[in-house]
Amino acid sequence: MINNSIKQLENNETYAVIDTIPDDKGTYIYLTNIKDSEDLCVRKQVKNEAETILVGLDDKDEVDYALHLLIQKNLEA
Amino acid sequence: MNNQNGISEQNEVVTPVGVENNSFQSSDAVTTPHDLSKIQELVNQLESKIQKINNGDVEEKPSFNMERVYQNSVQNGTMNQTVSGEMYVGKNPTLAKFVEETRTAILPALKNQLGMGEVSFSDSKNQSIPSLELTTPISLGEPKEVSPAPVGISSPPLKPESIFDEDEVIGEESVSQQAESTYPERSKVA
Repeated sequence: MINNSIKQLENNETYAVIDTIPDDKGTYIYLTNIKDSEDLCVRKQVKNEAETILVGLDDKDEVDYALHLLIQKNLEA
Repeated sequence: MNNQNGISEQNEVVTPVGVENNSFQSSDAVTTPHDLSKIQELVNQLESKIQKINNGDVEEKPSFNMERVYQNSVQNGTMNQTVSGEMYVGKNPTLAKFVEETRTAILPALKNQLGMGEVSFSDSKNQSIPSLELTTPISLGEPKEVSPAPVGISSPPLKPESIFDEDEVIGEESVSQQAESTYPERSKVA
């Protein structure tokens, strides 16, 4: 998953990738609904045996962790 | 190789994909087969959104419902998806602008929602420092002598020159002056 890509998630809404941040736990993918920028979600890109898949995060703490990474990255930019 | 219409074969495409007024910059801008009309529809939606932002019709700093973000993001109810289903639109300027503006808009809201306020992330690492501020007075006892290092520590003693530069000797004067000036106050408190 790379920046400037668009993906349709399981709710049939279309999301734009606004950032990707690699981390020890996987690569976090930040997506916003192109119709509603307040509809933000974070997914994790992990490599399976045969393919690369997007999975949900484990819990709220991991979501907070991922959001902090996003803020930290963009503050340092 | 070209066909009769002069259009390159799929694996040799070098001309931009022909989305009118939103042409892509390079042949690798589209990596997966898809319907161009759908991309055009998405581009139109993005342009509409950007136009609203420019007109001030969209709140600059959206207020996030974090429960919604959590619900969208956590494992429960999230179907694993293959990444190959994505549509990469490459250097499309409209999408790039949408992504940039969205990111710029959501960051302050996210900081606020996460309780980070105006504090930068690097400052937040030192959040323990403000907690040291005392709200109640404490009594100052007799100054304690600094005890020597316990016997049995195997690590070598610190070399003063490894910590302080010789040029920083001036700092010791200021410390001693400060100690002299504050010590009488300690006596009053005691």
